[in-house]
Amino acid sequence: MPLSPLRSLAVGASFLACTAASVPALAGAAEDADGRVVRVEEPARIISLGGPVSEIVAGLGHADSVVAVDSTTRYPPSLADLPRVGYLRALGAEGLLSEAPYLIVAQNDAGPPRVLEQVEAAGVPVLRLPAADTLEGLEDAIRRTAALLEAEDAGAAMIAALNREAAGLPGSPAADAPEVLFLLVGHGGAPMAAGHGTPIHALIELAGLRNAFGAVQGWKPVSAEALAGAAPDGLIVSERALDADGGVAEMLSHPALARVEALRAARVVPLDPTLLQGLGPRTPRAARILAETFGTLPSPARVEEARR
Amino acid sequence: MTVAGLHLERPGHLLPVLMALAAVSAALSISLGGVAVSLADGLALAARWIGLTPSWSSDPAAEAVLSAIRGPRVLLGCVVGATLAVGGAVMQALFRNPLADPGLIGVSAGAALAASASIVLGDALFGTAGDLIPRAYQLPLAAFAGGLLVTALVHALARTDGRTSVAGMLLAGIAINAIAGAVTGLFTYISDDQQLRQLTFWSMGSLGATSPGALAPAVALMLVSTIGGLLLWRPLNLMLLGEAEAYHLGVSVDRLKAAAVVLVALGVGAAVAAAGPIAFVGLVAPHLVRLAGGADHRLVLPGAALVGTVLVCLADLVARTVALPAELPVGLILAAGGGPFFLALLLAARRRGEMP
Repeated sequence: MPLSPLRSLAVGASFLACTAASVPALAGAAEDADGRVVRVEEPARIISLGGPVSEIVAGLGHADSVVAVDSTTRYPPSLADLPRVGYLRALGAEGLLSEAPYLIVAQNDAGPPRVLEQVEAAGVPVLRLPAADTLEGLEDAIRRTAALLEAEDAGAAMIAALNREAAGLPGSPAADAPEVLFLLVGHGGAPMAAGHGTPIHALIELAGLRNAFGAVQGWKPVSAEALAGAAPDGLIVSERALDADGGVAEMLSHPALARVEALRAARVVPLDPTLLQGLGPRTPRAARILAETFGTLPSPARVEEARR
Repeated sequence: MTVAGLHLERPGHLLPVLMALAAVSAALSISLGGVAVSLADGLALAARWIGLTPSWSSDPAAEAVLSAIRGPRVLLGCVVGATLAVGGAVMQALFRNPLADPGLIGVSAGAALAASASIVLGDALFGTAGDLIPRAYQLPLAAFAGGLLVTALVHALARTDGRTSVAGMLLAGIAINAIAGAVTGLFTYISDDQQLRQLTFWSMGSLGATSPGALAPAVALMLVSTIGGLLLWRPLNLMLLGEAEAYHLGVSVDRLKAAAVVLVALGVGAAVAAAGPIAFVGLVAPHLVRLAGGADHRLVLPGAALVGTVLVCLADLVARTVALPAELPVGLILAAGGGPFFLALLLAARRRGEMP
């Protein structure tokens, strides 16, 4: 059927309008942890998996596009009321799909891997980010997320802010740096100490401090005997665990800790638990707090004193 | 015989009832879930499977969910339930002990040991062969092999002069279970943060994370085990009279023991490899059938298969829908829902004086 001139004009105009609208929308693409290129048509209806990843997505200005998060996402508070798809490492394929996401941004250890494959097979792109154990790794994760969400400018600004805040930090401990111990207390069993290969270890070293359990790999339960030889200058604990235990004195009365005299002399520093899950945009700020507390970085108050 | 007030004049009527229940559970599991799937979508997919092109339009996303996610999951759930239940019934008859379950001969403990070794050691477990086996198959293969090896060890320890002692197998099973548990604990201890979490979630069991390549062989092995178990009804019935009595009635007792152990190890090993350890079904499903219809294995074996199917299908349906968009471990639902149900049946039977 021949089209009337008016009608073909209308068809042409609507075609142009369509292509004009879809050209920028088709551009979002980034490489995932395995080097595969992930593409999205529209950076909307995002499911964000992993506390630090959610902070990055929100920090790139996409907090409003997030439709669901995992149970480890507790910051920023604007994401806290969203539906929760469960624990990061125990996801369900249909649960994820039930939120009708356009894309999923996932921390490296999200899974099971087979579940994410199933979600991809159902047509939802999944960007699994590389593990971010260092600030460089974190920058890389931000860059990839920004590329996928077409927020390159916001990503560059976030990386610049990260570098600005990390610039003054010691970065690695001196041989005689204060020694600190991170203990996860109050989950019923023996307290767990953070060894190397944990985000806490990276945070401690970034602040120029030595990790008292740095020789051990990962999280390990500790006993009174294992702590007997320890003489840490500081004890770092999660704020949430401290609240649940009812304060420092209550926490130190744990059977495994009660007889360790050295802990009584140690300075106790509570940290926001959302900082403990992995390196994120707020890691340099947390490292600065630690560094100022233990004197590896002059605290603003002391600088002020020195000036007077 | 009565089931929760329902009077069965003839226990033979139990099987058709259970068949209907199993069919309804499977149909419910297929049609309900996080993603809405209409009847038309399901019919279109079924039509395409048998080579027809449906004339009506259907939602490709819903079909993808059915064929890639929900279909395989429900199939696995039904088969795992039947296998564990028949395995439990065979073990209870063989050991003539109401507390026996497939785990008794070391299958589950061996599979868990090998699975934790695979998670913690990774490629190193398979040595040079590690490069040849795709990573997605390493854990199920290790779990299956571990289950078979440990069961073979238990069976070998209980054999003297070509005869297998049931009591010896029970005691060897307890000892080997403890040792396997200790080694699993050691692997748990040396694991790093990520491996530890993987171990924890593996040990809760899940029907939703099986790779498609591992699904087909696992289902095939489980079907062989289930059908093989059903065919043992006659010698197992005679075993109920006692081992010596069965022997004098013409049952070659040692061959029966070997056949039962091999079938259970194959089936339960495959079930654990595909879905992780799922407790409770193997122990309870045969008892549910016995409470309703008596101890004849012509009824207990197929009845247990159907009850196992119903239990696992419905538990998984609840596990994946009740906390949407999150998912609960299926073992948790099985124990939380099945436990009280089983207790209620026990108490009802006791009140009627049918149970000790």
